[in-house]
Amino acid sequence: MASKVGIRVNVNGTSYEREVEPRLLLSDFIRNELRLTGTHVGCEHGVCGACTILLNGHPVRSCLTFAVQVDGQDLRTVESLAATDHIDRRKDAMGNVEERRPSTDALSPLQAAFWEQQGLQCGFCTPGILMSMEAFLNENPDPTREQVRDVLSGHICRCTGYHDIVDSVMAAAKVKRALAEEGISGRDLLRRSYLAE
Amino acid sequence: MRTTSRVIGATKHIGVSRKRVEDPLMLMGKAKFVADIQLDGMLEIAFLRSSHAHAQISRIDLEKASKHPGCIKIYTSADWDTGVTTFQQHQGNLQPVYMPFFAGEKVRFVGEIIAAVVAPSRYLAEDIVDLIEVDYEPSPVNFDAEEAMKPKRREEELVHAEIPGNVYFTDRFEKGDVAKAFREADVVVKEKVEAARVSAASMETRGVIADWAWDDTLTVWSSTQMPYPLRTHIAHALQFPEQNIRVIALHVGGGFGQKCVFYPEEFILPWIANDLRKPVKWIEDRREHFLSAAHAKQMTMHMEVAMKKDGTILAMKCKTIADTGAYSEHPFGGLIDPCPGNAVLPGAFTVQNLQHETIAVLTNKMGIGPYRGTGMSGTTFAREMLLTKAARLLNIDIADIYYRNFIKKDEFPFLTATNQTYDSGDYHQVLDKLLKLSEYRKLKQQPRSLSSGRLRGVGISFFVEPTAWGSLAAEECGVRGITAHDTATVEMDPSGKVTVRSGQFGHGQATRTTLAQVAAETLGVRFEDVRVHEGDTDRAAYGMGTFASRSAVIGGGSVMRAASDVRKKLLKIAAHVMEANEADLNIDEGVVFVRGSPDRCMTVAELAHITFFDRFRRPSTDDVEPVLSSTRHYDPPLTYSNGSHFVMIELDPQTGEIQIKRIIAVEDCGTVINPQVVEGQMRGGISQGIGMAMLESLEYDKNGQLSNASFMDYLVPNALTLPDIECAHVSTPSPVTEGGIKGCGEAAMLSIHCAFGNAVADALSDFGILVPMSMPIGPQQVLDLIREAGTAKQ
Amino acid sequence: MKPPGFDYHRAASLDEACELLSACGEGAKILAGGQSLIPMMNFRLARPRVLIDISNIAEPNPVSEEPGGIRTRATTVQRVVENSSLVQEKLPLLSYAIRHVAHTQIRNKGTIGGSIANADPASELPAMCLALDAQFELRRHGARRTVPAAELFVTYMTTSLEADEIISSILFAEPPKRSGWGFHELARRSGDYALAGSSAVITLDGANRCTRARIALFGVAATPVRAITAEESLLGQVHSASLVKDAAHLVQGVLEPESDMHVTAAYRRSVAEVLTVRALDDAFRRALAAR
Repeated sequence: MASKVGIRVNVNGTSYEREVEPRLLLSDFIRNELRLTGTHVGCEHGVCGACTILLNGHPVRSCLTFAVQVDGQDLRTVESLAATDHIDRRKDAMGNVEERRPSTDALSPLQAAFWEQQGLQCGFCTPGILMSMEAFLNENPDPTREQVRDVLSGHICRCTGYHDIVDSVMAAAKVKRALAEEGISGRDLLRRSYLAE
Repeated sequence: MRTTSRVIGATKHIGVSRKRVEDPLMLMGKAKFVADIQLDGMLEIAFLRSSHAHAQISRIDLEKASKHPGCIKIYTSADWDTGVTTFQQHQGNLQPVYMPFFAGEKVRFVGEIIAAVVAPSRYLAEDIVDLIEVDYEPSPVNFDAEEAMKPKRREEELVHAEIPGNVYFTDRFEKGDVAKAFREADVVVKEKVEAARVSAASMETRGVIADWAWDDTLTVWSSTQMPYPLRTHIAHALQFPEQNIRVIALHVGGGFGQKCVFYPEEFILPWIANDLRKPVKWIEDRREHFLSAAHAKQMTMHMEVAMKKDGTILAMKCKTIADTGAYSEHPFGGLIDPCPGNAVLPGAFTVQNLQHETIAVLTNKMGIGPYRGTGMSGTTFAREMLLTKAARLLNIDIADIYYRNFIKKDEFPFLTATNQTYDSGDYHQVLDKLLKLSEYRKLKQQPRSLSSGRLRGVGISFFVEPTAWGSLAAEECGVRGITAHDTATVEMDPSGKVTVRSGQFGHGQATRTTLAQVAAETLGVRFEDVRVHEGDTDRAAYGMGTFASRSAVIGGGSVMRAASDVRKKLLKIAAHVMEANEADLNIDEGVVFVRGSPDRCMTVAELAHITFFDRFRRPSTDDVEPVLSSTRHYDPPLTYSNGSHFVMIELDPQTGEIQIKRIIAVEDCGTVINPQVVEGQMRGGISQGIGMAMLESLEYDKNGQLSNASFMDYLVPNALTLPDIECAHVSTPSPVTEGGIKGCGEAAMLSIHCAFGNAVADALSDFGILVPMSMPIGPQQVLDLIREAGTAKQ
Repeated sequence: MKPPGFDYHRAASLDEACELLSACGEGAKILAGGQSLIPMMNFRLARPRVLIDISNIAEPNPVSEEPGGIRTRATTVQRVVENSSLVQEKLPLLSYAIRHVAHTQIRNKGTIGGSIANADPASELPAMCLALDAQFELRRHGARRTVPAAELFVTYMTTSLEADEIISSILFAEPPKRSGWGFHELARRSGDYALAGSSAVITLDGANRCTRARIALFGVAATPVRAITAEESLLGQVHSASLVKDAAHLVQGVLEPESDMHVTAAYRRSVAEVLTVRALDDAFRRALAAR
């Protein structure tokens, strides 16, 4: 068996150091070693897109990357989107809180739009799609439906027929543009402004 | 038929697009799917699966494998040879087909389990699997159903020695005078129609975790659609006390019927956990998924339609041969395709002369299980393509064929030629709406050929969908001896908040949301004050699970009944506490008030508190027990949804490439609980239906090897395959179900592929009468059709 | 679907990679973007003994202009080439073709050199090497050589690279002035490997006569193929429907397609010709519009 290799990665702003077997897939590293199970594994051959994460800001398949390859690099997963530290605090203070209430005001505009427009059904493909769209909307804040479909075509969703996902991304783009114009920042504020609209 | 409770009060929650309570967790990546669960000391399992489609196993050598330093244990049929899955139907001449958990002396399809390897990680387990040596003695492979049915000389040619001729079920049905109708017909169309073998291919594959604890309890996590029945069957197979088993399916990433099957892994894992006294985990990989998660829909239909000059359908005949693979998958068996398929042949039409025949055949492929629309997808395609052809021969538009043969809205309840009792509908209104939205008539007048050189085609289809799969529905769909009722418990706690325990289990359908809406509506409380438990046998109520367009009707109906009981109880207590007449009281948004004098009110919370804790204010417990809960059962009669689809395509006659330009769906599923959720179901079904129509086919070669066991080669629609999907509704509430609810989940899979096929025929109409008679319809099939026309002309 | 074990070396430079490759001997493979190799390993269809990782080598000037064309480093990811303004301006065909390679998420990791060395006959980049007269700079421990595109692709997923040799850069020739391009492929879904594809580059003189032609096809033989007879039939000619039709028919001579579960060999033959007509029409149209 090949000897383990030491790597250091920055994931969602936290630095991790681990010794890994060279063959360990990045998807398994994120899920099993770092216990960030929001990144899902749907095919392990790069087609379905469920495992998509941001590597140095760009969406890539974590199932087609070995963990050893991302030494020293910056990763973002779905867990980075919502302001979850806020929720975790509330969870600590209140103990076993009900799952749906405290979470909702922490969603990012993209997540909130998916919620609003039913951009998911079973939710398994969703984390990967969110990560692709997070990067895409930063590159292209005012996309057409066709452009959204082009990026989305790198993901398989078996539930929605894609229509509601496209609606969600278009809605998120609109909200993000409006917020950017008003110069508003801060996730809670984003969420509330969006709801008010 | 009388229903006990109806939608009560103003509809504040029913018919409203509530945002789904399921979503925030999933959007944050915090939902726990089975693969996400990590237990201390958990071991992983990889399976050695047969690489041969049909062979005797002469030797399994574990020596090298068990010497691997990571090997903890390897299990084969030598360890557990009594375990089999079987099915529970009792129907006609059906012979049971047993599937062993571990293949013993013989393997019958590529992917069948031979051994289970336990190791500290999946990586190591797969390394060890590679070291197991198996000697196979190949037998002839049955890869084609019609070939497999032919007489066999040698026993080794049979998939199962005890089933001669590889046929384990046949059935024949006739109503009316079919022979006479065919004699009197002006036009008879006769075709062989083929539907491909497909996979639901949910995004989350299957997966099982089992954990045995020292109080002799077993906890099993499985990506299943039916946690409770699974518990019962594990108890049976392992001879383990059922009360000590807990099955959990917290979040499941899609099922579509495919996870409505009991698989060997769901018994092997608990059994190994029990044997090793260690938690074990198996997550199906995508290759395993294509090889060994139930396939669906492969049927050949020899169909005939007799018609009068004016387009009246006189009679239909259909002989359906189902290629159901090597085993009949538990619990519905391979009959889940041909039987419901034949049962829905009359569709929306009044035709009363009908004959159908069912032949269920064993082949050396993975077994068939339910998948959205089941075999109804195949037979509706056959019917619609034959009608399309007949319409062209008679020079009548297919829309006018529909209008001529529709059951009229004043003819319900209507007994169809296959003895299904349609409860309600207004088919004319639905089709009117679709034709208007799509400008169908106008488009049909325009030339097919566009300036780009492409051909435009438009197609429509009309469907009637049997929904609410309870015991009666199964019966009317030709799958007999199934019990499929459900229960729900509604509880109010001392703070006036409500817990619903349901036997349904949503895995994308948002049943937590819709059942909360039903409970809130019936009880008169706030939506936010209701929480629904499902998918955990320690927290939910016994039920069959979510499949076959049943959850809204059966789940909704049972919740409505139980909530109605609690409401009555609460009102009785309120009448006592508030010194008011019970009949004068109403509940709205958590406040009980006297009708006409809204000042006289109390909150539900106050009343609940009094009920639990204030023995001086509540009524005597002899009169009213201070229990604010009810568990009710519901097993409804079948209710039939209906609807229509429109597809516009552009077809490139030089390459056969087809682009879909527009899709419209009009659907009538009775009372709509949550329009957004319903539209999600409509669009999702359309997506899978289009996949089936133009892309999807599991291709076995003559050696029984599956050539496309990956998402590279098994093609499902992506975001550029589909256009935006427009939805519209018509609502005729069901007179026979609680709240008038009808199901909607499978609808598109009975219709959209037919509209697509119809559009292909329309696009090609300048070449002659060319109607596709097999699915999927890819570029090759399109060019073949065109070439066929060229050959015919010469 | 977990990959088998292997020994791992991370190379700090291409030279070090060459050194490792020659030192490790048989069973050693280069890991670039990994977008074709890792899926094969996950299916356990590829079992390299050693992987030499070049995916983190930062080379200067991933895409640069030099006399005669545009040079891209082999390690450059496809998405960078696709979005390079230099490529979009000088080699619009290349940028357009790369957009057909799988999906953005794959192109963010997959490299130019990786796709070429993988030599899948149905993939776009090898064919672009033919259409754009690419020259490969190959490196091995202590040696370098340059190979033209015509000499690299040997047969199905096989190149003329030596076992210890790697592609270090690719020089795509910039077509002369008054050139136009066309690219058409047919796939079951967007992003899939092409069932068949054709591309063309046409150069015209002042009288709109064709002075140079390139026609490269993919998905229709064991390697990407150039249809030289068809190209020659265009020289000196002015665009017309019949000219293009006849030329496209001549591509049949170089096609050796196979049947698979999606389409037959006959289908590939007929569609390759149709797509060539379209590619040529587009190329002539663009050339006519060019100054």
